[in-house]
Amino acid sequence: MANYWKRIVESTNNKNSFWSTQKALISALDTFARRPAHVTSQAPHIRDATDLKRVMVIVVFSLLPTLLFGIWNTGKNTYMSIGVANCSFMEAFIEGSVHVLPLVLISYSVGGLCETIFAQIRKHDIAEGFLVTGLLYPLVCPPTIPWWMFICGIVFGIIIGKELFGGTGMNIINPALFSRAFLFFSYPAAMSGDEVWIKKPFYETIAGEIKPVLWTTIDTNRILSFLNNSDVNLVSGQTPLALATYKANLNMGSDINTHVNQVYSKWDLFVGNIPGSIGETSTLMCIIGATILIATNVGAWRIMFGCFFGAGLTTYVLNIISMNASLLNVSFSNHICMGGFCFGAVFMATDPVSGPLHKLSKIIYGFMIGALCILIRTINPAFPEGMMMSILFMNIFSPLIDHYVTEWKVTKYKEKYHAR
Amino acid sequence: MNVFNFNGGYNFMLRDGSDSIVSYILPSKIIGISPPRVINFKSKICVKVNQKIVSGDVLFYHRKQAHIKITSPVSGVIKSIVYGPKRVLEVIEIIADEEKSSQYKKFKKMSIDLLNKKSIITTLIDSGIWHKFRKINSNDFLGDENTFLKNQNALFLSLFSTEPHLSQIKFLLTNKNYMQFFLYGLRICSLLFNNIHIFDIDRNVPQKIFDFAHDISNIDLYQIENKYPAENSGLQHFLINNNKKNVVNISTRIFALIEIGHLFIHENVIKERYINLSGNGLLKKHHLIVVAGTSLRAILMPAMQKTTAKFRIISGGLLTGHKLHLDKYLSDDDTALHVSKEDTERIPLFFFRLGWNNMTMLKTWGSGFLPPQTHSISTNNNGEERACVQCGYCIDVCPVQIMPSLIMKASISNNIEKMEHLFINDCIHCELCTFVCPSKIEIVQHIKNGKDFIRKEG
Repeated sequence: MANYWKRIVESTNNKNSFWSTQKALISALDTFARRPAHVTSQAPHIRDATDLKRVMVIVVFSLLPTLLFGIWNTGKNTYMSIGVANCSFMEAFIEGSVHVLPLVLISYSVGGLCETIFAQIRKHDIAEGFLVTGLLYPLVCPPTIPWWMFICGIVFGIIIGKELFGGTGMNIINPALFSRAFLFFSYPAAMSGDEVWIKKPFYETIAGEIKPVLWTTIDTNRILSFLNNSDVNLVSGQTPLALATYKANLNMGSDINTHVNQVYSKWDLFVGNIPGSIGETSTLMCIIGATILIATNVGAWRIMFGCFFGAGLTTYVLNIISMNASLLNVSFSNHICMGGFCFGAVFMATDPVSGPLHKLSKIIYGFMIGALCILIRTINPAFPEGMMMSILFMNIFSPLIDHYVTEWKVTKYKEKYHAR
Repeated sequence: MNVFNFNGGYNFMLRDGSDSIVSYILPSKIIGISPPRVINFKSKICVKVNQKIVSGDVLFYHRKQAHIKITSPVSGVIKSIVYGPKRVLEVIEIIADEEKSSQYKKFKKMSIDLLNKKSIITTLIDSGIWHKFRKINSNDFLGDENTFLKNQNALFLSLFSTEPHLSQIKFLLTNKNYMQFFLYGLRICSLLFNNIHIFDIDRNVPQKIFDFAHDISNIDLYQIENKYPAENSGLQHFLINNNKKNVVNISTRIFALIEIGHLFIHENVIKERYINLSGNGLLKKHHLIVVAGTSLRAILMPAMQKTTAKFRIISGGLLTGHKLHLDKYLSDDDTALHVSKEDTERIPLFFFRLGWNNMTMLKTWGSGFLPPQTHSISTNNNGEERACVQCGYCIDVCPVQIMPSLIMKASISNNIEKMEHLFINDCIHCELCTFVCPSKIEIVQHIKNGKDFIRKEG
């Protein structure tokens, strides 16, 4: 087997061989399985052991807690949607896997296909950045999204958001978020927070016949009893942010925080046992991921700090100036636990390619993301969630921030070392 | 004693360095003198095949700078003159005379009180030591007498080395003779240069040097933080920060001072050179005193491991050195020889391991969380070249606080204005940014290309 693979790898250099047409894919698989044999060509003769593959692998590791929790949470909420509140851990996990893992597989395979085609045309190697994009994308999508929409999103994001600019390292915006933005504006009904989580009953009665609609591992009898029983309390399935917006629009004159925390307790919001996009719900898991990223120095703590600081300051100011009970009143703790704030701040904003370069610009960039996110959430009635918008917006501005910080650094350097 | 600390840098701890034993090898029959390894060194040859020469005779000089002369360290007969591609001189091979019957060219003896700058420079140019002084950052030779005396100048010396497996000159200075030569050379230099800055990593400067520096007003001793690239004279110059115009900053190796001392005490050029051998391809790793121009084969073959593995011979440090071929001769630029096995091992699932033994400046491997440990040498690239992802590691490690990744991008787009705006000329070529780059981009090579482009365009 190993010999056979070796022969395939060698034959990719032979122009007449069939395998030479698959060179990008084969060399990507080969260098992933075993460290490449390349040696340094000139000084320095020794190199750091870290390369992009390792950096990306670390990010994937840090995303795993979020993914696993997302799987469990999806299953749990699916059970909730048919009125079963006390399902076991394994039941929920298995049910969640049925819904989430196909999305991850589709994301990797379809996105990987786009990446491979472009790499093959350009005669490049496949860049490692896709490892992270392919996992980030399903985590920011709602689990109920139809597969065809999901595929449209990833294809659009990879091709328009990344490959047209020249692949990993050249893109100006985060491709995973760009894919989500595409879905958000193209299919708002499937993406908006009102009914995201509610799974339609898995069996529908069409012309008197009961027909399966979705894959599920849930016992058929449970679903049938749910369908036949009209007394079961239905879970609304609204995401906390959508709920807050909804309550604010009703303008009932009381504090929004109380309304939200009546439905979702603060603890639930923090742990993430709430409806929402697959990976975004759990603040706790994001903190674990952030710990890995910061400890390994792969994710910039300055950006994360900037995000929280910006959001905190904006919330504080808004809380002071708000007179009546409106969205402006939502507290900081609710803001960071609701929606994708934590996930965005930890995994999306820290993307090095679309983010800024200097330490100072990282803080500014993070601060602006946090502040903009809160502003969009509270002041703009059209979008309950603002994290995606604010990150994409600041992605566009990060070269500008970098430019001014570079100029500032150059001036400072000149004064210090080239004064005469 | 001023103490300097600097940003960035890294304390390399690598196995297979040379131990503190200094040994001699017998002089070989044929020695070869090659031009300094400087780009565009066009030589004008002064000797013919079969001509008899004595030690100290000029063999060739720089075609454009006639004061850069290379002399023969031994007496004998010219065996052959070998040219490389484009008829560039590669080496002049000499059949050396027996030790006893050896003659040498005598340089005029003068008492130290009678020496003036002009007579020192003339002697140094004639004896072929002048080319061992180089301008900092540009690595150019010094000008001739008149140009040299026109400007102020400062000499930078390091008594140590932090780059893995460069020769530790301190071992040599424990020898009484060499110490005497060194101090005399330092004395001569203190007459010649306006300022001399001597750096060491700790306060344990040899007492004699300490006393000597204390007595002479234009010699300053400094202490510098013990991490690579502390011995880089570009960095030392950057830290002292005397960016006055019309000051020529010069660096040289300690051994050049020993040569000067020998020249003025014994009135002839020194024959020996001092190198150290290291690397996992060698059985014996030690310091060596050999005759200048000995062939690498004679030096390395007795010590090399007998395996079929592919070896890489590096002259100089592991970070800034360059590859050599076994057929070459030892040049004056070679102060250390490193032989290491090419690491082409394909480790399965390398990128998923914990990596407690991987050498890294970052924290992406387990070793980043352990106390500093020694690592084995690996010439593996540890990955393939990718596009820059703006991780900013190169800016963090840069000891002179410039922005390598931005300069690299300006260099690729041939944007001279931008390159100069970002201080491309402050780069000291320490190669740390290339070492740390996770995208495996040859950043310093791009910066060098940018500098060349600026020079070409004027």
